Amino acid sequence: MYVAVKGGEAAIVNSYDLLAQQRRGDVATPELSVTQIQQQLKLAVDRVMTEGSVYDPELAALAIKQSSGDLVEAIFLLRAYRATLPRLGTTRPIATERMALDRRISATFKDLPGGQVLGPTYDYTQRLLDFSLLANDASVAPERAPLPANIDQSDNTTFTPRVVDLLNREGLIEVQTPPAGDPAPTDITREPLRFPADRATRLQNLARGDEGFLLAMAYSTQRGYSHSHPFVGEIRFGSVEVEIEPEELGFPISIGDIEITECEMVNQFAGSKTEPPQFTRGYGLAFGHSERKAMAMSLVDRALRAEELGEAIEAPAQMQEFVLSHSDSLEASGFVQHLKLPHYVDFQSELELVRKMRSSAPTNHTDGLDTAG
Amino acid sequence: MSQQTIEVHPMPLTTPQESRVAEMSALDGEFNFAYLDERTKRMIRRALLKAVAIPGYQVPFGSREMPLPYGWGTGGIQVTASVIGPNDVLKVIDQGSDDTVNAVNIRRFFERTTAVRTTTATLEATLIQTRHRIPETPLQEGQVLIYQVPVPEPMQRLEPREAETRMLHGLAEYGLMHVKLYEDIARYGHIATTYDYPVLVNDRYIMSPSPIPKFDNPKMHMNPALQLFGAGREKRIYAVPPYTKVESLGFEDHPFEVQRWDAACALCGAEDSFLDEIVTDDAGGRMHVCSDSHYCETRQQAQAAISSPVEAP
Amino acid sequence: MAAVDLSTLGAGFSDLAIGSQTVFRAALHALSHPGRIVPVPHDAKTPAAAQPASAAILLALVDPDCKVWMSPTLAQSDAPSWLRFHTGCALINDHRLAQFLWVARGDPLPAFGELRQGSDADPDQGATVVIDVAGIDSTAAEGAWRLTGPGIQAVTRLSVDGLPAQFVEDWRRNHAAFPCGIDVFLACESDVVGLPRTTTIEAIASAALEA
Repeated sequence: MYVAVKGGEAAIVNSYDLLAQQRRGDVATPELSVTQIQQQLKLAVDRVMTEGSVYDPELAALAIKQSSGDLVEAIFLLRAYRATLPRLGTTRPIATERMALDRRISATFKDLPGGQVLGPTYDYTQRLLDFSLLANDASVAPERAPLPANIDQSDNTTFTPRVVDLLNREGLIEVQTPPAGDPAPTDITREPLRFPADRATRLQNLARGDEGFLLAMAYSTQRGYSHSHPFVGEIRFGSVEVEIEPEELGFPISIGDIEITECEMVNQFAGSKTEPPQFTRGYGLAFGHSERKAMAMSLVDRALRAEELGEAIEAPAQMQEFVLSHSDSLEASGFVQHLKLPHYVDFQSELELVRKMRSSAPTNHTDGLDTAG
Repeated sequence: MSQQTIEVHPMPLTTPQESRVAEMSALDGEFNFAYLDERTKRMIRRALLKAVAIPGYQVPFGSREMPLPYGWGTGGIQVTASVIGPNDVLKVIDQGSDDTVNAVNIRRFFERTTAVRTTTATLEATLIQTRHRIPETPLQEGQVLIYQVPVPEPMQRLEPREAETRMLHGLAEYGLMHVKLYEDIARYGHIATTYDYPVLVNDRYIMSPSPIPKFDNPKMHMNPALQLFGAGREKRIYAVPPYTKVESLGFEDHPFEVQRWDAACALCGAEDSFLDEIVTDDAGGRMHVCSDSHYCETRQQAQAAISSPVEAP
Repeated sequence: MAAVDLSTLGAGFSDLAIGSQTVFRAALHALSHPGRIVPVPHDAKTPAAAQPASAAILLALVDPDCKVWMSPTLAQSDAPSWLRFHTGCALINDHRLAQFLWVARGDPLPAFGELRQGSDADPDQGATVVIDVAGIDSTAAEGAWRLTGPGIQAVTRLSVDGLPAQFVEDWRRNHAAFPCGIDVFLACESDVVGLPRTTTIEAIASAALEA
């Protein structure tokens, strides 16, 4: 005799236990600490902070540990934590030209005031598996190379202007000024996206957007899906001071430093009825050291400016709704994976329909089934 | 960019490890009632009031990341969390059943964050959160039915651009929807939509009833209960007030029809309920049972009471 | 706004979460059943110039994201300080920009047509107006209204003491602008009545009632 399925609650509790076992792995192996993750999986931590929209390396590392290294799941954990945090204040705009630089490169200009700083990068490593890391005995950190003489780490107020601004004496690169009245940007974590979205709103969306999605979108602009001829004006990575200015104090106070990666991309622009031929810009910013993300973001930002610049909107990366509605890993992952939930009722309805259509067309069984879904 | 904002963490970044551990493990007791912070609830409540005032219109709201994934009921959960109070009695169903894993999970969430009484009995509940079904037992005035909605825009598959569909709703320009249904008729001889069948609310807005089977559509019409709809991922809330006209789209020569079965429920014998088909063996054996588990159990208990009456002492 | 001694302001809800939820449910019920007289239970110490039920509704619904306008009697009382202290809402002088408007007993109503109406694409941007009235009665025959629309099974009767005579005509125009328009709560001491823009109000002549 058939009995309706029961025991959902017990099944869920059991799955928690199994998940905990899977996460821990063989207990003969020492447990990974959050500090180890924070120190030794820095780039994963940085990505989780960026897309999780919370600058907190410890919590990001915890999320990575809890999610067994599934970064989209870790981003989800951090976002859910963030959603109900009280808002204590709004920071002043960060001054990236005052960044304490760890890395700064430009692909457009060979010699820069302030110099190019290669810094930590996988760019020129040879991608050969380093079997010495298997030995797991690197108890002593490799000695740090001395910093270039012109970079003074001790002084946060060092002024290193952005390359693109520095070399725009000729006025060939567009100048970006804040919109009239410098309105406060919409906070997309508190207000629904409405279209058309202005640039500040789009940039927030892209900053939280899934790195893989942005990378693919950016790549598509290089392969003919939009007319893009980008150059890296500058990528810089380092620390900036974050300040708040409490109303009652009337002057800014520093609340700490954060690491960020900033990318300014320069694109050729043929000009329009209102604008002369010049170079235009795309902008990318991410927490920590996240160059692929910042670069992809700046390419997509530029592509999304098509309407503003009077370009034909033909490619997916230029379409606001297409990009902004599909960039979020939580939304995408949740909805794709919700297909795992029971759909007995909808499927039953479709089953009845298909049977009905087949019985009403007995001699032509295969016709007309392709759209039932 | 004119301004950069970052989240200011309530704890200093240099919090010692021990106090962070204490903070995390104490969280369970630190949840606000119904999880959401009060300001988020107010934002959602204001959206709900406007949704009731404009039946069938999708109100954009600042949907939050919830501890459950988007697509798994975050819209319904946010609506329930904003409506629920200590005197409510909550029922949660998925596919008509109180015991499917997702329903259990959401019910546990509210038990943990509100400690309200929960029930499986449809008429005992003041709030019913549902995915994909309307209970068979007719609802009563004062009850609130909260639907989880995956895709609130009924025209999304015909016109994915939201800027366009908002304009079409604004103009009540629904030719697109009718053309789609009519093409079905031309091709198949009938409308080939079986669930999430579009409705016209209060003679003005075309609305997605969420992926309920069209069998349930007539229950929405002039229902004494308040019907609220939450779409978390798409950040929309909408409503059908009690006693409101809800008409399933159709044509004069092809009126709206609901599904019918030749079979009755194998467990309770019901002929008037939505039936799930159960595959019983690998030789093509099948049976039909009620999708509404509480309705089915109540009927079985009533039949058992009649067939084996308790003997008088 | 002049400096106000905060120690003289009345308390808000003793339990913020439950107090707000209870009052919101009353407002939701009232708007879902237009014309029905719905009690507003709360324990806030509300300003003397206002009806307690309306004060509780604003206390429960607004926050720093809301622009609130108050009619002259309220604006000159401690009501603005009270509401701002407890909710952090923004108080504004231009009624045309307000999301919430609060009108004291006897103060003239702002012209509905000047208030935020929303647009065809965003009708939810229409204002919410909370109006203090002297009394609400569902049994009185004199000057009664006949209400129909979503939320009303057949017909609801209501009579309101303290609204100007042109209210019914103003409301007719508001209703005709659907889906744009404003929504109203009428409040007396402990009850509220909701009037969503979908509701049709018809004033019944006394003679017709007697017949």
